Amino acid sequence: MILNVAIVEDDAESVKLLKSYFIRYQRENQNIAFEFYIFDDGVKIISNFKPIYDIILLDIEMEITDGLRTAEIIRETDRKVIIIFVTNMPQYAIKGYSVNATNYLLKPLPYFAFSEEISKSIERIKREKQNKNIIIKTENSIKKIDSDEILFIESIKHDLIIHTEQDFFEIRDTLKKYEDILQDYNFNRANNSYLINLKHVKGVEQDFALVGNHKLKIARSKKKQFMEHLVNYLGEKV
Amino acid sequence: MIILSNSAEVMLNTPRIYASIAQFLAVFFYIKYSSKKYSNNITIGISIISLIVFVLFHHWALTWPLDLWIFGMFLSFVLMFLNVFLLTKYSVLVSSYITILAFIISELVASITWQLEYFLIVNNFNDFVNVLVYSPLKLYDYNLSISIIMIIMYALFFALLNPFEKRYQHNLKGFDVKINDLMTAIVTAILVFSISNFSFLNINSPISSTGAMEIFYIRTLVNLVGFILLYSLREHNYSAQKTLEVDLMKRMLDNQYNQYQVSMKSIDTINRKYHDLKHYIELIKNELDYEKKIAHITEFENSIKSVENTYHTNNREIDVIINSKEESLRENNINITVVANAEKLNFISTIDIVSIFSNAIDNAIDSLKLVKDNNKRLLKLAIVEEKGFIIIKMENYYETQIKIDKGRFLTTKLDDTYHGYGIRSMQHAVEKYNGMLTIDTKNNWFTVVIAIPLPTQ
Repeated sequence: MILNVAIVEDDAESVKLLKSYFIRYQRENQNIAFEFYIFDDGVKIISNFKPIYDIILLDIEMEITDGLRTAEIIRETDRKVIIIFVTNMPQYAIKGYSVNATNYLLKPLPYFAFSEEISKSIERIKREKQNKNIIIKTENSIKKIDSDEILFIESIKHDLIIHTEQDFFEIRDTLKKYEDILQDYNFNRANNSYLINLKHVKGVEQDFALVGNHKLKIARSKKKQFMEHLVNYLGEKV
Repeated sequence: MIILSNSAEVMLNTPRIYASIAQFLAVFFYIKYSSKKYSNNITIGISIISLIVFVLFHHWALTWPLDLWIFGMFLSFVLMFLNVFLLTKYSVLVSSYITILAFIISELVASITWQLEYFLIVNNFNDFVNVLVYSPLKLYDYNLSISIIMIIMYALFFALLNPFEKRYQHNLKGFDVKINDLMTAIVTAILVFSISNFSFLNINSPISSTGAMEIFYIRTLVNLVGFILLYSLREHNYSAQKTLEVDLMKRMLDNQYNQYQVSMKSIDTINRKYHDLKHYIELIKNELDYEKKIAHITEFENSIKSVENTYHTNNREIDVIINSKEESLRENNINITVVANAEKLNFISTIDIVSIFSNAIDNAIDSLKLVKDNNKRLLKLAIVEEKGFIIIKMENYYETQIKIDKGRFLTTKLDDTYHGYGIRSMQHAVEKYNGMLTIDTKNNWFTVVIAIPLPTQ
């Protein structure tokens, strides 16, 4: 797997160290390779920003555009990229939540903390990338749906309705089968007749899960496992 | 001495097959709730073998002279003990205790069942009732036959016992048996066994059918008394343990709260001083001697810096807790990173905030102390809002094995019970707000994730 890494840092020594860590990581993990993009100020990466990076390491204190401001602007175009602040100013990094950067690395940076953080990031990138395409046969066509786009699957008698954000598809199949197919993709059987994609759960109100514009009943007996699954899923993303 | 005719034994004594199945079920019932030595499949496999051994043993014991009857009972007790001892991780003491419980329960259930069945047979009610006591094997071998009513009674009895056991096992750490519990159990068992069987064995003449019911009755009653005695003892231990736990948790929380208030006060003082210092700096700035001036300013500035709060989470209580732990974190070379917006956690009471965060950080520090390489002493705290929940995620690296006891986490800390309460105290606080706490231990990271639903306006 090749990952695009941007290092935005005005201190040349620090850039050198980070690069050497990445190279060491690459050596220790055979199937990972990094492609580097180095910027010596925030302003350089955000002018003409393209969402091509997997990981951005961002210094906080920089001359023209500081790390937090840079991150804000990056987030306007790229919501997925992993942003990790590298700083000796924890009092600023604490605000990372506003740009969805929930981890930061403290200078002086030992290799261990670096490699653990990178491993976690890679795990997350892999998770994000693993969507499953399912092929469904409707009455007059065959269609490919990305599991990410499914809000939930509903079972009515012997039919299934696959609800996506814009559309829905009716097929003749069992919910159990889809539960098995999608079991590694954070779908939860909240009820006998619903298989819910946790990614699209907007909230939980009493015994209902809010999914898209739908309010789906969570069976009382399934509530605990549903919540546990949801909390684990949310926790993984933090 | 015992002048009991064989046919009388057949009628008055509980059929051996009933006793052996009851003994097996009772033993199996407790093993199910024990810390098992082997996997479930092996445990079930060996249990099936032991069922066969029980039945065969009792069947064989039937051919023994009646003088050896008590000895036979003793041997069957030993068999039960071996079954428990071999399949569980428990010591001789605990295994003996479990065996006594199982023995008295098996006597009780077999006795009640046989009493009922005998009553139905003797009174010869109607076809429906006959079906209940009928068993297809009866004609072939009376001593190996079981009836429908037996199956119903046994199933009912253990189903009723199940919730009790669940409750004890959930709240106590398995079987919490001390030597005096075992002594009480032994005395009870001997008394129950001798009273119930004395009256049975002391009959000198072939007895009339009216007397049979009385003998059954005594037997069931005495077994019932034994059962109630042992279970009220367990109930007593259970509630004593509960009270102790609540006390401990409360004391721990009080401690943490006091600590919290002390740091709160010191931070207030510091804040006041901070103002004074600022004022001072103004004065110094007017100092004419340049060198003196600079020296003073740097000195004061540095002293301010060291007392300044590093972590501002937008929740004063959490700030105080994190900052009060800073010294301990620094002392132990723990590298903490905090990304947090706890602004919306204001609906949670101070005491619960203290319970959640003090325990979380203390647990993490305890576990990180055991990590040898200082570079690996990493602790991360994140508090974010997501999908109508406040998510609190606390992760620390760990190296030593973590013991997991029935879903409760006990760390490697020597005082492991105390530690378990920390997690439970957090859980308790989280549940007050309909929140949820999950724990994950993979890749050498101990991760606690808490989700608390935000109250809807």
